[in-house]
Amino acid sequence: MTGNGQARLTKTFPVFDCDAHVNDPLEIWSNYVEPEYVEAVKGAYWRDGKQAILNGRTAVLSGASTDFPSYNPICIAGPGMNKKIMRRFQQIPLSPEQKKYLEHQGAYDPAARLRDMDLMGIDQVLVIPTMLVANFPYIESTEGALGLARAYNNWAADFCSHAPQRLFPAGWLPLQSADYTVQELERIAAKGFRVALIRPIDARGKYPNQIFPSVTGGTIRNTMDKVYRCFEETGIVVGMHTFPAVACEPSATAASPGELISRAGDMHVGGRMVDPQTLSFVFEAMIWVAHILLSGFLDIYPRLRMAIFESNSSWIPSLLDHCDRLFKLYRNERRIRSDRLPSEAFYQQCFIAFESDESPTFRQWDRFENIGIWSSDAYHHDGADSWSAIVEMNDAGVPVEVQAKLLGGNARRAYGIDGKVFVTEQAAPVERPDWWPNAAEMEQFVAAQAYPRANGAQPLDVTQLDPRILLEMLRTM
Amino acid sequence: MSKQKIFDCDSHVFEPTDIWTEYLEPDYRVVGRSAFYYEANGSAPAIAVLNGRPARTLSANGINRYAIWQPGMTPEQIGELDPAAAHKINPGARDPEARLADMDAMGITAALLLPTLFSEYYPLIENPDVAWALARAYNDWLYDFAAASPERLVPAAVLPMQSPGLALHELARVAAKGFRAAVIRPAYFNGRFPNHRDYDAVWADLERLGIAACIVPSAGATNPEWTSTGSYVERVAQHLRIGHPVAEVVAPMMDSATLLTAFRFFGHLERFPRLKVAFLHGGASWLPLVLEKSETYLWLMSSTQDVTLEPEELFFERPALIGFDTWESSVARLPDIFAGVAAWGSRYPQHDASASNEAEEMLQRYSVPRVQATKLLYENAVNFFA
Repeated sequence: MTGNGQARLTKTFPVFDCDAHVNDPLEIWSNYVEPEYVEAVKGAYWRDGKQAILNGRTAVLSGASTDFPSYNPICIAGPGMNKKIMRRFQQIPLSPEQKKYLEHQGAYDPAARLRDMDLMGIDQVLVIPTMLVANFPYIESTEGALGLARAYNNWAADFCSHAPQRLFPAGWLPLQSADYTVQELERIAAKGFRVALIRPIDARGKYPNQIFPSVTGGTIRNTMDKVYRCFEETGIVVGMHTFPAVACEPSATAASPGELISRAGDMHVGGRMVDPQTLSFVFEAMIWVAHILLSGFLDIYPRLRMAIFESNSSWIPSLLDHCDRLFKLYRNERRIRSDRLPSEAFYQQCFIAFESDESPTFRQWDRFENIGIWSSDAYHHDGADSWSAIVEMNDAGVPVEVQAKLLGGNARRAYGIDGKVFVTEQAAPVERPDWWPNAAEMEQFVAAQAYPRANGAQPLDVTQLDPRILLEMLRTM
Repeated sequence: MSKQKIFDCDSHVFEPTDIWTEYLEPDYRVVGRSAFYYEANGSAPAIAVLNGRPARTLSANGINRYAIWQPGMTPEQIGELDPAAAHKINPGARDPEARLADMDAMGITAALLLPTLFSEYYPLIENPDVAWALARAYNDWLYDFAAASPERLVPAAVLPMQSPGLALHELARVAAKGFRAAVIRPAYFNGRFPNHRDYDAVWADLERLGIAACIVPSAGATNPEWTSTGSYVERVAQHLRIGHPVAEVVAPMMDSATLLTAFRFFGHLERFPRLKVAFLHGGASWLPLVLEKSETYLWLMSSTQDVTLEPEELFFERPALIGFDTWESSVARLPDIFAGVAAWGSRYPQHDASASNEAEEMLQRYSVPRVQATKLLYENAVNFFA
């Protein structure tokens, strides 16, 4: 039985988690950067025990626990966790021991990872970095980018070698140079990588669609064209992975559309935030998908296979249908002539990740049956296990054979990986320490938090607060 | 379903030069034309002026895609048009009699009238006083346009959000004229998004007056960086040499979704509980996702302590409307979410417009019961706009 007295869920098919994270550990820099690249990587994106420095000049979030006043949100979601418990823990001072308990070591320790996968109903997983996705695109040095990409990929390969049937690395690419990217793609293909990641943003003015030569884009042959051809030739799947907009360094133009979300808030004057995490992921992916579908990009690379990660999925049906309409409307203005509708191209060459709570996707499962790939997003704070996805799918009436595709079959088909079942039954609830809030406490807490004004809270204009309050709060956490 | 009454909540005018030559008050005609002017007659290249400088026009060739569609035209037929030739715009975009004839042909009982140029360019006008003068001119022209059939044509006013104080003045003026709706574009007006605290008085007055706030995005393809999402989309898309703009497919949804999210984080839905808010011209199928994402991150951001963490309940309990497009089958497939809050829009006379029968067929294809179809096609909008 589960903790709430319900029968434990079971499954007969292998679950493949197409997007779960590691928290890029320090040993990437301390042990994996090859000697000939150390100086270049130091000037590009370097982490030590104290800080992370981008381009030799800008301190950025590293993902270390010391970056965050409470628990580490990169390592918090896992077995038995949810957003309401996390909110509770944000509101109480946590001891170092408690913070350590809340940090899932599976974010950097493969043995711990496998234990958590067993608890979360995950048989196989594609592991993806975290703060590299945020910071790496802004690196200026091509040599530094290559050195760090090699270091990360070698570390990820070693991490996954602990359980090669269950852990699969996604490669990271030094897109600062098309030639280096091709070199690294070929290298990781030889090591058995099935996916390599690209973030669809305009960092350094290099949005990753620059396949044609341009007057300001460098040499005529050094474009992204050779990168996508290399993806086709190696069979590696392009993993478009999005992230919250964090403008690492000042820029006259936006790198990510999510930056416009941040600007709707007034944190810059000490006010309220509009969290770009809400929609930045979705927006980065939507823009990428929309314009590659309307441009004929997939007709230029007909053997390319692409997975859209961490961007939710329920927006896809409407976007595809609108793109199909525009494709017809602009027939005489399109420069690349094609008779293949955008939706056809997407269904033939693309996959899209969905999360456990995407009920609208499950209720329209026929639109996703052959392209949907499930992701836990563990251990990031909005992550969830496969059991919760199964519950939602059962509620939505998704047939079991379709669940098997959505929860693993499609991803394995995309990556060319054999499925194997390691977990068949939902685990018993995790035993928690005494300080863990019990069910009654949580019920009371949730009721008070969910409707603060009904419980007497007054609207708060944080721009009027003494800013020292914030400083004091951060110092004591 | 042939006798189904239809309310079209996404129907546009394409503004004529009469607004500048006849409706703009004489004292403002020179400065007004310098602040913002647009001329497109279909036979010569369009003229666009913004803040005293040339601006990008909406059309790069002979097809004005913001006013090309007429009843009976299919996407394939528009796709076959020769861009090198000059194509006349649909007279119904500017002439109320032609508009009513088109509505008859489309099976539309009544329509909400939304701007085109006064959406795409208007928020970028820098001089607030001139912005107000142009708002008066546009609103007076639109009022006269709708006067051709007040029971069928519902005008939505524009407000000079460049200055919250002037927006209040114009709101009072159009309320006195009988406007029941006002358009607010989810764009940055002089760096302020509409959730900014400076606009609280505008939202409060909209609530007090019972005027529906229509959140109407524009593609923003001609707009400068940092004003809305469209400029970003076009900037990065240009690398692929597509041959036509693409922002229209994603930017309107993004701008609307950003404002709804900002409303949630700023507590607008609680602070203005009777405010009527309609999200139009940006699609509807994103709504559950955006509400869910707000909920997740509000729970995870403990620093936000004074807003409801269950935004779905809040949104659906209040006077709200969201416009959906003909191709949005998600609306038909998720009736428990949308049947009480969604309302169909034609997008007339833009190139991707459709008549109501196409929407009716879509709803029938997914077996939407007649009662729910009537809500989606008529009752929700009529009840909302009173």
